Amino acid sequence: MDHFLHLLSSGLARGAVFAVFALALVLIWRAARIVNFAQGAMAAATTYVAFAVTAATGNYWLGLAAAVLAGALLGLVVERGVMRHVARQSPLNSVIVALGVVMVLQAVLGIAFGNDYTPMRVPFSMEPLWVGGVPLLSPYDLYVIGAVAMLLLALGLLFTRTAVGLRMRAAAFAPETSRLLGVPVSRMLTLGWTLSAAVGAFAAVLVIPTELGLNPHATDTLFVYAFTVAIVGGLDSPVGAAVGGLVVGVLLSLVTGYLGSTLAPIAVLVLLVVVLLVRPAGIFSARQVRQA
Amino acid sequence: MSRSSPATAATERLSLHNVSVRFGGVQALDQVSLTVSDGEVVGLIGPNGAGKTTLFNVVCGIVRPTSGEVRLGGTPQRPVTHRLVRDGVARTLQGLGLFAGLTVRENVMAGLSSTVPGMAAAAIGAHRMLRHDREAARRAEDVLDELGVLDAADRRPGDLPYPVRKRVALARALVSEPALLLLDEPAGGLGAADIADLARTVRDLAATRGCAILLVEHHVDLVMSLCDRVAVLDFGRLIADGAPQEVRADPAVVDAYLGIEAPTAPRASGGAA
Repeated sequence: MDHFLHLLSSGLARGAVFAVFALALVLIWRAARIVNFAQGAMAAATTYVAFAVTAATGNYWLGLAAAVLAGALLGLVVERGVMRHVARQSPLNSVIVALGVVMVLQAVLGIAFGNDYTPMRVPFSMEPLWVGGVPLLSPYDLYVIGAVAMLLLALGLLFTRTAVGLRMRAAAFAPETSRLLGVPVSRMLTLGWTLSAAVGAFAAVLVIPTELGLNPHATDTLFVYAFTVAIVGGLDSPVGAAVGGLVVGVLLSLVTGYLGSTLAPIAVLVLLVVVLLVRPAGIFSARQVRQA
Repeated sequence: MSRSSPATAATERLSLHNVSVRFGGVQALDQVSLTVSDGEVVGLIGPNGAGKTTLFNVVCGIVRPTSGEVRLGGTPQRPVTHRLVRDGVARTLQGLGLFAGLTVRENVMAGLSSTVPGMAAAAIGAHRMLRHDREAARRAEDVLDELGVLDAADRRPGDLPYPVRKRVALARALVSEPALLLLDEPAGGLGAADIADLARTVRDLAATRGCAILLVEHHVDLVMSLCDRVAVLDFGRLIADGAPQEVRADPAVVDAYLGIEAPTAPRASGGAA
């Protein structure tokens, strides 16, 4: 039981990050109907920015802020500079171009910083706190969960309570009608990429220190897991991303704890296949399906 | 001519001068000139495929004219779709185009997108943006109330009966208080009572707010009773433009379009289904 509680709580902490990274995918999907396969590599690049700023200033928070800003900027550049010019006849075009962006980013990062894993320092201990004789969450886990909760809340407010959020949703639902209503749709698209990349950068800075460390490929598995989360939750559904993230986090943690870490990625892929077979639109997309 | 044009008072809100549109080999609009003044209700009729929707699309910047000029408020324009609302133009769509995932209130608020403070302003003062949002919600509710559908504000369009959705779409166009309103088949799918309400609303908009209204409609009785002027398109050409009685009596119009309504016209075969 104790073991189970430990696995459950650490699974939730990991899942929170998956949720955020998946949410970044959902943001772009909703805005542009593109699965951004470059999101992992973009987040790796911005984590290097965090690392450099933290190393130069000695301040973790400045590094985090720099990564988020760099993410926003990178999202802007990738959308305006690359993705906007991709012909939209086939969805495959943008996938292939995104994969090209991945190769360029990872190659540049490898040339500039090498392919070794660089450990990242964090401002909180990663030793679990013992509650009633059970090792539960570490202070760092608590920080991650709190930061993710605040981010989700902020995004929720942005989309449901502000004019910009309303315009972004309107532009995503029906671009032509939105234009007639005065929504600058292409600017909303850019904003979607900017926001998504900033959110992805945030998630990467949270998760990379808990794994092997910083490396041009440090976000590869994060991307695969987040992609699974987004599919499980439904690419259209932010709530699905949040819940799906927690589900996948707990699944990974339980499988690792009871069956061994080598099986964990396989369990995630099995989940992906099952969801695609049983409910291809995702678990949380019931309403979209009915309306279609 | 038109009963509402004491030429001194009425200012020209929309005017098209010799507008032509060609899609490949099809002449969708051929040298069409048309004006709509403030406070005036103009009906645009014609058989299917006559170019009515194309004309709307030209005004909305969705279709670029091959030649000719569009003027809004007297100044030549090259209409840009997402700036229309800022230029005082609002349009309803034949298919309504309501956002399925947004509530009715949000749908109407989306009609105020052009009045949103810019991104930079938003970054400086979040409170300005929040105040704008409250104001937008209030304006949306006012218009919904005026059209008698305020109780639907928190529902989604898909859950509402068609006539209510139609009013929501009209509310979304009206919320920005446009100077020029383009209505695409506003009576389509409505029953007699709803059509009477619609006619009252449209007349009221023109009379009290001085709104210039151009409407495409197949419901000929409504057009004839509601409009100050009726323009008739046939195969992209404007074949008549005048007071309802004149247009109704015009042989060319009877031939091209009204014939289907008047069984006395012997040659009425081509037109609409």
